[in-house]
Amino acid sequence: MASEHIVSAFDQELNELKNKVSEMGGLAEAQLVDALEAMQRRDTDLAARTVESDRLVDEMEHEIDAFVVQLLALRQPMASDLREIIVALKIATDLERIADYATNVAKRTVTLALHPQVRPAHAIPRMVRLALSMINEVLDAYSDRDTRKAIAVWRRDEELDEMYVSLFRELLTYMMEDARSISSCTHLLFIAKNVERVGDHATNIAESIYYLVEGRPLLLSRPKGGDEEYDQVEAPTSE
Amino acid sequence: MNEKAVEDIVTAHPPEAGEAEPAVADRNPVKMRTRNVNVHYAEKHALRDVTLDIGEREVTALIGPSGCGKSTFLRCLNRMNDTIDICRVTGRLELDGQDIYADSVDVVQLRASIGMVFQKPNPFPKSIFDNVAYGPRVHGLVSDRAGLEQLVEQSLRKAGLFDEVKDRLGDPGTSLSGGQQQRLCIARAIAVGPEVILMDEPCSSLDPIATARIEELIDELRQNYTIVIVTHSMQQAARVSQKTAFFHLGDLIEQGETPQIFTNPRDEKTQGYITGRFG
Repeated sequence: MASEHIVSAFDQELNELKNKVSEMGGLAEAQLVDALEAMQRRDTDLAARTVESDRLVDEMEHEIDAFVVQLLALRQPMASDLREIIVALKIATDLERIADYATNVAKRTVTLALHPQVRPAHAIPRMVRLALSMINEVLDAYSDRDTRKAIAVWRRDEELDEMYVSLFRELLTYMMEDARSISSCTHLLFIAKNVERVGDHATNIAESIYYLVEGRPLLLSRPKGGDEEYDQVEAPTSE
Repeated sequence: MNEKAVEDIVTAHPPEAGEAEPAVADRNPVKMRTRNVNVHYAEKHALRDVTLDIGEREVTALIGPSGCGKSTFLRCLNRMNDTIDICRVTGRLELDGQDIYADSVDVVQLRASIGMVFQKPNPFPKSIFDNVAYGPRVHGLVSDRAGLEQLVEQSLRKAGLFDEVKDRLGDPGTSLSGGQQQRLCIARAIAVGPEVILMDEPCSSLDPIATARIEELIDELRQNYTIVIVTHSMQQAARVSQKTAFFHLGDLIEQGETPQIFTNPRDEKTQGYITGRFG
């Protein structure tokens, strides 16, 4: 909808909301970039700073929450305006989780630095880079209201899932070969899981964008990477 | 990444506005059916080819900017436009399958079956009791005083007014507050046993509390009556109606389930109107 509201202040507020969400997206992305760098350089100072700066993302989420409540109460939005505002709230929640996972990665980096490096660690940066590109593109899709781009991100999560599953197998093998690596490998496993979850939240954002633009949910089932192996390990009930 | 798959999702179209039409009549049977209704005021073409089904025992809201034809359409539903000389109505309008513009139709009886409540409360300059009793007397609906008293009480109760006025039924209707007067007018409409109640901006002269009372009343009344309401307040349409129809410059632009109209309208004009944009 190209045309503007009769009440122009409402347009300004919607713009401001959009900008806040994009800004928060940038912060969450930066958290993951820093976490990656800290891990690659085994830089515990940077890791500590990353943990600390998660606070900024949390503050931003509270700011967006309050703004959304204010807009709902004062503007009583309808149709696309209503979706715009609801979706901002949902995306802010996903971004906050993404930043949390980045922070977890940074925290484990501090611990990992105390142990000798293990080889599968090299696969993690690849995962993080993929997750970063998903975040980057989904934020672009949000700015441009581009459902095509959003769906492309949504599809790419499969790749991230596959990377996670293959890394999981690799880490298991390592731990079986050398019990001394169990500690490092376990931390890496948690890190990999966190990055995989980042991808899930990026796909949530992609779904929100689709709903925002189309007014209906994206109802297709998303392909999951390497399900079989993964499910067996996730649910060790009766062997 | 599969380009084709993305393309498929992007190009998958939502249901067209037309496809949703049967849903309008899905849940409740159609009480009033209108087909290709056109209204001219002398040379002015005020309403163009309006085809709309009004479901039984639910609230249909007619919305749109001033001069869009929503009130004109409402007035066609009980032939109120007959009173305007220069007004010409064509097309078919049915109540329970019967053509309401047929020569054999008794208009007075029709307006008892399809009652109307106006923008400004317009009680007769009579007592509260007589305001409600007038219709049943004229139509000969009751044979004795006791029956009449019972009907008046019932009607006032259904309009949510009885407890407020039971000790002063002899007072003039005009002595009531605006909101009470409007409920008195609703009681008056109910007293002659209508099946459909038309409301033309019934809350526009009322404060928010009185408005809330009327809205609550509308919600209760739809258990027993078919209600069509014209309103300028989109929030009101969203709150009280199950179906919404949007009119613009004499055309029925879009009709559908109220939640759909207010969260995801299909037409750009509807979207523009309900979000407060130009266009």
